[in-house]
Amino acid sequence: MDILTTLRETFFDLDAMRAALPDLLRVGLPNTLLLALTSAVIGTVLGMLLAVCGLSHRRWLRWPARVFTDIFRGLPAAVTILLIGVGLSPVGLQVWGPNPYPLGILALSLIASAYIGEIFRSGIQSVDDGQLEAARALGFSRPSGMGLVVIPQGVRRVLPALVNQFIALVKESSLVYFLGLLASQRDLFRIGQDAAANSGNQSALVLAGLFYLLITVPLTHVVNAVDRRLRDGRRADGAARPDDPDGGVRPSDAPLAPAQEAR
Amino acid sequence: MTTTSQSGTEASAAVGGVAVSTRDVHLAFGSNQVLRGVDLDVPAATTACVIGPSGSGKSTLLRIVNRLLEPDRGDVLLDGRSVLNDNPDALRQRVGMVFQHFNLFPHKTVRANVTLGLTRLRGLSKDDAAERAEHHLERVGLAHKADVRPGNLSGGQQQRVAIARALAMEPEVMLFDEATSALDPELVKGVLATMADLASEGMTMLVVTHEMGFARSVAQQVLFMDHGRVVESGEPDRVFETPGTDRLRRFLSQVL
Ligand SMILES: Nc1ncnc2c1ncn2[C@@H]1O[C@H](COP(=O)(O)OP(=O)(O)O)[C@@H](O)[C@H]1O
Ligand SMILES: [Mg+2]
Repeated sequence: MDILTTLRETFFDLDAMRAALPDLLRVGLPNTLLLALTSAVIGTVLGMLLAVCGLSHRRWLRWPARVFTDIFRGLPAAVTILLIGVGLSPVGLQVWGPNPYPLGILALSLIASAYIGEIFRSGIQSVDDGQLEAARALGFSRPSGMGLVVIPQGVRRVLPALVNQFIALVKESSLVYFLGLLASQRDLFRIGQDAAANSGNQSALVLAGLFYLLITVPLTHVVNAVDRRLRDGRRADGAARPDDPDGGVRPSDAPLAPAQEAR
Repeated sequence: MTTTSQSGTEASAAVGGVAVSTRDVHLAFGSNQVLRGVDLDVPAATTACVIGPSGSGKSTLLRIVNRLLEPDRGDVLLDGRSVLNDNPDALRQRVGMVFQHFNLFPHKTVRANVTLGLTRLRGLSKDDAAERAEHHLERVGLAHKADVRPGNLSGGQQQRVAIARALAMEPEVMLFDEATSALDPELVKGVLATMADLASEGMTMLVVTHEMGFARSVAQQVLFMDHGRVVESGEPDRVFETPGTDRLRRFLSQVL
């Protein structure tokens, strides 16, 4: 048997793929999406909270946020997932029974929030101080000025980094298998791995990998599109076109008299 | 600039400027004593220009008038009444401010820049706010740019939008902090003309500027600041023609 045949049978055994496909599609994909999406939502909300606290003038808000961030960004994801998923499972058992998902999602959310919080913080910090000052000069309180003017701009700037974090989350969600999953709770990775073990080759895992790519590759293109849009966003958003004679910098600025510029 | 009325009280019809004063204002940043007892009186519907070298405390003084900064000592009065115990957010709605770098909100359209405070702070409906924004943009000749984002405007246009944004809140006093310093020379005139018209309509204005021509033709009063004090003040002609101190003479010889 030549090596190409071996490789093909190991990684691209169509029968093994066909056998794994229904479970991947009906069980693995929804579960992976559920894990990634809920953790992304919770992680984003928590991350924003961490960013705002981390930027606060109040030490008792800033400190806990920094410590939290250091811990969950510094620990390996597997350690966090095991510590929370296994360590808190007695509590979880009493509250919602033997389902590893809530704690798995909690762990993934905490990890994501630490990264997302730092992303938001850097974005918010990059906004010019004059923006908050202008908002306050209009009569907005500091919190309103942050919420209406500064944070929206900061978030816009870090959208690409945020999407990258979502991609990482899709991949990291596979780590919940540490927590022991019932057949119906398995995610893409676990189903691919089980099927691979049954068929004696890696083809089902390759197919699982393709599913991951199906989720993550479009996301990377979202990143690029967002990035491009932000880069020339002003033109994309504004009503002015390059061919608008009034759109660019004009040499003569009309004073108060409106007649000069009316059209 | 020729439309400027020299006696402010008769021109107070369009906008309702009130008097602004500071009394013995002190402020230090750490060990840096930035203001060392500033007294200032800008009568209602008049314009006072503050001149002086960089770092003399001009911007800091303006920020104390609308309480973006709180003085260590001294008082700020609007219409003869101390405002240091007022709610600072409410006070800032009465005092408009225009910055050197415009500080328009780049993620919002020109119209939204103007309506933000109207809907959120003044409680105007969206339509009423848009109408008032239209009016104030019209006044600065930029109503046709309402749907554009600030990044698409020239510096001079941006600064006029910033003025419209401040005026839409119907302030009783306007503060200008080097409003034309960041502009290309050919754009300065338009902004100064807008400011001069506002002065002639009866706004009370406190203007930090390096535009001595503007100070001369529009202001009723010029104050020269150095090292956190008002070293000299008076009518523009007097201050520029017969400076009473060496420091002012030296400063004028550098800028004129
Ligand atoms: N937020 C601040 N923190 C610390 N020092 C400041 C701050 N703002 C201004 N200063 C200092 O105060 C002094 C006066 O500044 P400023 O009022 O901006 O002067 P001007 O507007 O006349 O150039 C400068 O020495 C400046 O470094
Ligand atoms: Mg200054």
